[in-house]
Parts: sequence; structure tokens; C-alpha cells
Amino acid sequence: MSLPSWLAKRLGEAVIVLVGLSILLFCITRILPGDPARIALGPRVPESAVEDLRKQMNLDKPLPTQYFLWVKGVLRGDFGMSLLSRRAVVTDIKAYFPATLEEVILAAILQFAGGIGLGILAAKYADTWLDGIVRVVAYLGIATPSFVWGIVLLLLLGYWIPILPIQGRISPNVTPPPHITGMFTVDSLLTGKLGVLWDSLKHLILPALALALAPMSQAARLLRSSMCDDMEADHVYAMRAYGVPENRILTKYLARLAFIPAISVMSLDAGSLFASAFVVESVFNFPGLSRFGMQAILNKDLNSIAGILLLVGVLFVLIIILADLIVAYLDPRTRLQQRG
Amino acid sequence: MSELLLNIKDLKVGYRVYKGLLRVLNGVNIEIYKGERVGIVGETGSGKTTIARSILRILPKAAKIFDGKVLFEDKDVLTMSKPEVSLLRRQQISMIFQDPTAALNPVSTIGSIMSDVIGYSYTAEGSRVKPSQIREMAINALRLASLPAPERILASYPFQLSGGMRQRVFIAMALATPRSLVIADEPTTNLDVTIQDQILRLIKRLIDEKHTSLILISHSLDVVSEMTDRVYMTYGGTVVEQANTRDLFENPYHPYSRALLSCIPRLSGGGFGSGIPGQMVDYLAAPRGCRFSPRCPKALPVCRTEAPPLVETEPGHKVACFLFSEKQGS
Repeated sequence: MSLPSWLAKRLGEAVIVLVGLSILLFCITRILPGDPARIALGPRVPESAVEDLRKQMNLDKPLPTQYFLWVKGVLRGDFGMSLLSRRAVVTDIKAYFPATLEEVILAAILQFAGGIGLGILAAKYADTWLDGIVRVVAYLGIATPSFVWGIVLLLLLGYWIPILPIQGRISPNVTPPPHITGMFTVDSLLTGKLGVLWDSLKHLILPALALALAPMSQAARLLRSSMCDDMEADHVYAMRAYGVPENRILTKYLARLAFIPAISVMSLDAGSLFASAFVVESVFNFPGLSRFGMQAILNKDLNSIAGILLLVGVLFVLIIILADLIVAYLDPRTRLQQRG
Repeated sequence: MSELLLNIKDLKVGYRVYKGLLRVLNGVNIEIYKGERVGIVGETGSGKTTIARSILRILPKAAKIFDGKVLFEDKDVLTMSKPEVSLLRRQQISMIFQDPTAALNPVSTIGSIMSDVIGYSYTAEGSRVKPSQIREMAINALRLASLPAPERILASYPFQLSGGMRQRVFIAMALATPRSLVIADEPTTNLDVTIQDQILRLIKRLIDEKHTSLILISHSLDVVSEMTDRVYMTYGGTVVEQANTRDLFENPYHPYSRALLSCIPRLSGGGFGSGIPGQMVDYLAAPRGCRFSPRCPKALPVCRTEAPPLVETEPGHKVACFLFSEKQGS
């Protein structure tokens, strides 16, 4: 199968998944107990006003009609109004999402770089003390939830050895960079404000690390075990028999093969970073999307909940497609093998 | 006989496993002379591959060498420094593996594997070879191995080739650069019967053209009788008999060789042989004396307590069996 047609097929599947997700999201938001219009307006407003808001939000129409009206809006990029902030949901997402995005991207970088590095190191020095340390750390990393890591890191590097800030995106005495992408690190870099970049990175590192530790450990363990398995494979001995240096065998032949099973799990984990971010952002009082989402859920802010979750869903699907592309690149068998 | 190329002396190799120590090779002695084609025959599990892998020092992690020497041109491979071993692997000895499917990295192209193999065999000399030259050499090697459209094969992945083609690729790799010894470890066991003969003839032709020595490891008496000048018959990690191929097949001495040769079904009457009762050696608790003694129809009391020495019954024909050392008057 050629790459374009393969990609088209995957994108088609992704659309189906997203349609399913949108139906699910829609149902969940409507099934949640409580009357959103009443919650939004408060207990003292007369029933007639609540009724008006309901009409305005199409809540008086049957569910299928509501769904199609909502989807029509979504396709135009209109997720409706937030009942909480009284602004367009899109505006709110634009305001909060960049913070979460830069946090998750940094976490993903830590996850991949750390996981791959530690995994290869542990495999190369398998069954030595170095390998032992990596394995113990990896167990701890996987077994401990991210919010516990958050609290531990806060105590360790924010309180006992106070070298890093404990909350927020940026220090109060630092002016945020001009808004370009909304990501402080990128914006400060683009405008050349290195001091601001440094300050925002210092705020990012702890939440990102708390997020990354578990998936990083998982990646390291996976890579180590698949590399150790492959290390005893015939083709590795064959390369050795022809005098190909160990390091080249490790980086060219082994790593590539070991990445294939590991990369799918690693990218699933990377997608889940958005979910873990919900809790970690609360621990660090980080003004990102998930704190906003949390408030939306508590206040039954229908449109915001649906908007945020749909966004996370789309990102997840995109990450999976990207992972499949990487696997197809690494593994010619998935790319070229003809069935039959 | 010409110059001695490889001399394996009293090689003892074992494997650490969960249940203990498998003492597989129990004092193996093998000599290979320049330009000679030698067969090592034995059933599955008799330690043939362990011998082959010891020569290149590519034994699995669990293996342990207890004793012995592998002298290649009078230098012990087992005590060589890493650079020396690399040089040996890159320029002197090459190996054709039993299962070409498993021995070629599944996610690399043939071209990329071959360019490493050929490239490293020249970088060792300190002279850099251009990628275009390496490619040229790879194409030539594939052509010599009778592979059609070598350019296309270089761009292919192993799974896109047939089993026979994969083994041809391996043979091309083994002989792409000059070698003094090629080890072929059961090169046709994993191939279709129809392909086996072609592959063997190819190996024989290339070995002859390049004046390379060959160690052919096989469980097939047929293959060995056609391909080799001399044979080592192994049983349970020991050499039980060695002779010129023709001598051994016409006039086997060791009870194991005799039993094995009588197992070959003949077209002209006799039907199938009787087989050898008993089981292969359990390396966890190998017999103290001759390892074949529990299955040997002619075993003497001494066979169970002492290992039989190798005695020369005729010039060049040696047997490790008390039946013959007694005849020689011990």
C-alpha cells in the first residue's frame, strides 16, 4: 500500500473515531445532573429568565437536534458560549491551551529523551549495577502516580532546596512576553527575551517532570527489554561475526528494531500526558487548560467541557497517527509487505 | 598436506543454564589446512554450532569457555585483543549462517547490511573506501552468487526475498572480500530441498575459485560426502572419528559412525536402517567415560569410566574408541 492511500485510510478511521467521540461527549455533558441554565444564572433569577437562556442554548429541543446544531457550530469553529466566563469557548481555550501545550511538549521531550537514553544505557550495560539503578528508578517511576511526583518534586526542589518556583507560569515581577503563540517559552524566544524564557522554563520544568516520570520509566523498561531480547538474535551475532563494531550494531541495527514495539506504547503514553496534566496542573496551580476544564466540569459548563475534551481527543488521535507513521518508517514490513 | 590454517586444541565449552552447567564441548581437536574443505558432522545438539561460534568468538552470553585454544595461523583467537578479533572477523574468516531469515536484520535493506560488511572489512586496513566502490563490490558479489538484478536486491528488505535468495545474499556477503576460511553452518537446513543442491554447488564453486578453506557443518551425511575432503564425526561434544571423507564413508571404525552410516536408506535393497537406540547426551550429567558408551552396542567396562584417546588406525584416519586402542596393544 502506498503512503498517501495508507494515510488517507488512517485519516478516514480517525474521522470515524472523532464522530464517535463527539457523540459520547455530547451525551455525557447532557446526562450530567443539574440544570446548566439554572446553575449559570444562580438561584435568585426568575424562572422566565432561565427559560429564555434554555431556549437560547437550544436546550428545549430534542437531543438529536441539539447534537446536530452543536456539530454544525463545531465544524464552523464555534463551540458556543461558556456559561461560566460568558465568553466564546474558543476564546477561553485559546487563552488556556498554550500553557498546557508547552507543558505537555516539554514533558513529551523529557519522556522520549530520558526513556530512550536510559533504555539504551540499561540495555548496553545489562545486568550491571548501572542497569540495576535504572531498573529500580523505572519501577518507582511507574508505580508512583504523577500527582505524588508533583508533590515530592515541589517539596524537594521548591521547599527544602528552593531552587525552583512552586506555582504559576511566570514570576510576578517578570512581564510576560508579547502574545504570539501564547506559549511563553516560544514567544520569549521569538522576541529575544532570554530572561523571560529562562523564568518560564523554570516554572515549566517541575510540572513537566512530574508528568514525564511515569511514561519515561515505562519507555526505558520497554526499550531495555526489547533490546535485550534482540541482542541474542541471530542477525546481531551475524553482524558481530563480520566485525561490525558493537556501537554500530546497537545504534543502527538494534535500536531501530527495538523502537518498533516501544514507539506505539510511548506515543499512547504521550497522548495520555494531557489527561495526567489535569491533576498535575492542580498541584502546581498552573494556569492551563485543565484547571479551566476542572472548573467547567464543577459548574456544568456544557460547551466548555465538550470543547476541551474534543480538543484533547483530536490531539490524541493525531499523536497516534504520527506514531503509526513513525512505525511505518522504521518497519518496512508494515509498509511494504503484500498480503496474500 | 599444505600449511595448517586453523588448529582447535582441546576445546571445552559449556553453557550456564538455570539448572546448572551444560558441559557441551569436551576437548575437541580439529585441524584445518589451507585450501581444504572439511566437514563437521553430527546430530542436532552435538555441539557443531558451538564449535563454529567459538572460532569467531561469537558464542552466546550464557556460554563459557573452560579450556582449550583456537589457533588461527598460530594465534589464539580466544585470547586475542578486541581489535585483533575484529580484524580476524573482517578479513580472515567469514560465516554463513544456518537460518538466513533470522541472520539478516529484518528492518535493514540488503544494501545497508552489505555496505557495513564490506565497508568494515576495508576500514580495518586504514584505507577508506568510497560508498560507490562498496556498492560496486556488493553488486559484483551478488552477481557472483548468481543473483539476478543485484541493484534491486540491494534496495530490498530480507522479507522481500525468497529463502534461497537470502542464503545467496549471505554467501555473497561471506565471499565479497577475500577470506582464508569460510564457515558454513548448516547452510541448507532451512531451505527447500530443491534449492539445497544449487546452494551447495554455489558454495563449492566460489570456494574453489577463491582458494578459500571451508568448514561445512551439517547433519546430512549426503551433503558432507559430496562437499568435503575430510570429515570430523562428532558425538555429544566430542570428535569420535576423523578421516578423509571417502575413507570414513567406506570404512567407518567408530561404532557411532557405523550406526549412523547404516541409517542411510539405500535404494538397492536393505530398506531403512535400524537406527540407534537411546537418547542424545544429557549435558547436565554427561557420562564420565566415552559419551557414546550408554548407547554403544560394543561398550566395554573401561568405556564407562575413562574417555577414550584418539588413535590413528590408518594414516590420517583417527578414532576415539577403546575397541581400537586395545588392538594397538595398550
